[in-house]
Amino acid sequence: MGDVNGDLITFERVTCSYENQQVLKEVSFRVAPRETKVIIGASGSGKTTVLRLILGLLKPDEGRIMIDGQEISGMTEEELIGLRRKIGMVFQEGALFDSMTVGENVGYRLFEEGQLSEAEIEDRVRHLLGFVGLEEAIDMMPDELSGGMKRRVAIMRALGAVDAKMMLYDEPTTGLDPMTARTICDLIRKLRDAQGVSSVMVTHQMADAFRVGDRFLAIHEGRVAFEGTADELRQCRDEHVRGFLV
Amino acid sequence: MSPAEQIKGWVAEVQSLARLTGRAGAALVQRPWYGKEMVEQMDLLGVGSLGIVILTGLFAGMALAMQFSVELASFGAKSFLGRAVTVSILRELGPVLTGLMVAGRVCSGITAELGAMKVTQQIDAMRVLGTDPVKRLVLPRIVAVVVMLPILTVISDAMGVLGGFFISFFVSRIGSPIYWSEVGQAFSFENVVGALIKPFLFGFIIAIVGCDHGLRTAGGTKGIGLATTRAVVFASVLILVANFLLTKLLVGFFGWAT
Repeated sequence: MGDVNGDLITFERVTCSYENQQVLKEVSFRVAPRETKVIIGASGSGKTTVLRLILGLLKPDEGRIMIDGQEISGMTEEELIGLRRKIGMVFQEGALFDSMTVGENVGYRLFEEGQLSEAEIEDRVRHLLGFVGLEEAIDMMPDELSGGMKRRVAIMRALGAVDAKMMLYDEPTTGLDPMTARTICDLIRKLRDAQGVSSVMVTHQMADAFRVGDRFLAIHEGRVAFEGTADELRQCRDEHVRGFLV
Repeated sequence: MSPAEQIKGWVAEVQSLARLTGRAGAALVQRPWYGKEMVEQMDLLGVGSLGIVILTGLFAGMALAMQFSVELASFGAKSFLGRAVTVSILRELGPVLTGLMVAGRVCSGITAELGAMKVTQQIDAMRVLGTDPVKRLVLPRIVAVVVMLPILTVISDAMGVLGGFFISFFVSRIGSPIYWSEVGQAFSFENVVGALIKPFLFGFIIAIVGCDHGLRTAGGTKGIGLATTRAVVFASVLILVANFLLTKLLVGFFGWAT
């Protein structure tokens, strides 16, 4: 598993433009197996673009992106679909399919693959929802759920859909009350500890970042401003990074 | 916006449509096909448009019959009212009016639905979960509209001819056998073929423009509104241009006198 260094994700001098604007400039970093990397930065600094690049939803202008040992920059959409089976993604606000029930959302990939019977899929979906205490919500529609419930369903959809080797979280706790945010963070840690899932989490909620992160990456105006552990981050002298900590 | 930028924008629109058409064509020959989704869309987009199409056909037919009745009376040719109404409806009014009405209802609906999915990242989520949105969302809508619009046009045509009959019988006082006999005369092979070819193309235009604008939506709820308006305008203009070109082709093919 991983590339020659054993890393699951490798960015090498990645530059990316979006709508005629350079969003990332020569960004390099690595994510090791079982590691939770937290990406911090101001709104519009290019954090979410990193996640979109990992998933192949965007292509870099320059540089190399290796996911689980495979260079993905030149992959076709068909090839990327295979790769995405290893990655779960929790979008900001959840991005649940609003015309489907909670159960259909969580079992989406299983229904698509058509290899299991409906009863088997329902069992698996109930098990996943039970993991986050939402088994009763299986027949509810997404617009009947609170923000925190939506995020938990979104995590289970991402996890239930893939043989997850890695999970990506785009601001999973933004807009949630502290108690719910803590529940989401505990869940992210539980997934890492119990299932050995590597994670990349984008956030600007520093309390949540320290709660789940093993290593941190700060992006400022599209460039890497810092990379290191929590202790190194606390001692960092870069004014832009410090601005986040206070 | 300068005229050059406007032309560039239109070229980009056509380019984007061509690209999506290519991807939808490729999706048509690859599994999975989402048959259940297609049937659902036929019900939603096709059967759901029945009311508006019936009313459009009926009132257009009545208005047309009234106009023709006055003009034909001045030539002493009121008995030809049935034929005049039917030919006009079959060749032009039925397909174009139905196309425009369905464009207003269906194209806007498709753009708004896919646009909302785009801005709430549901389209990205679908891709991440291993589903090609062209296969799951675009192709079923194209198939549904292309299949349903000809059927809706036939219904609209029938209502138009019926509307013409009401005016002919109750206002112009033309006997029922005369009207229906003239209607029968208008049902020539070329008129029927012409009436059925156009809706297939118009249906494709409505679906592909709606899907393309929906999938390119950006900018939140305001963006959805803008995309919807643009899609309906673009689809309506394309229908009118395509109608002219197709009519020109049919006139040449069937040798209709011009």
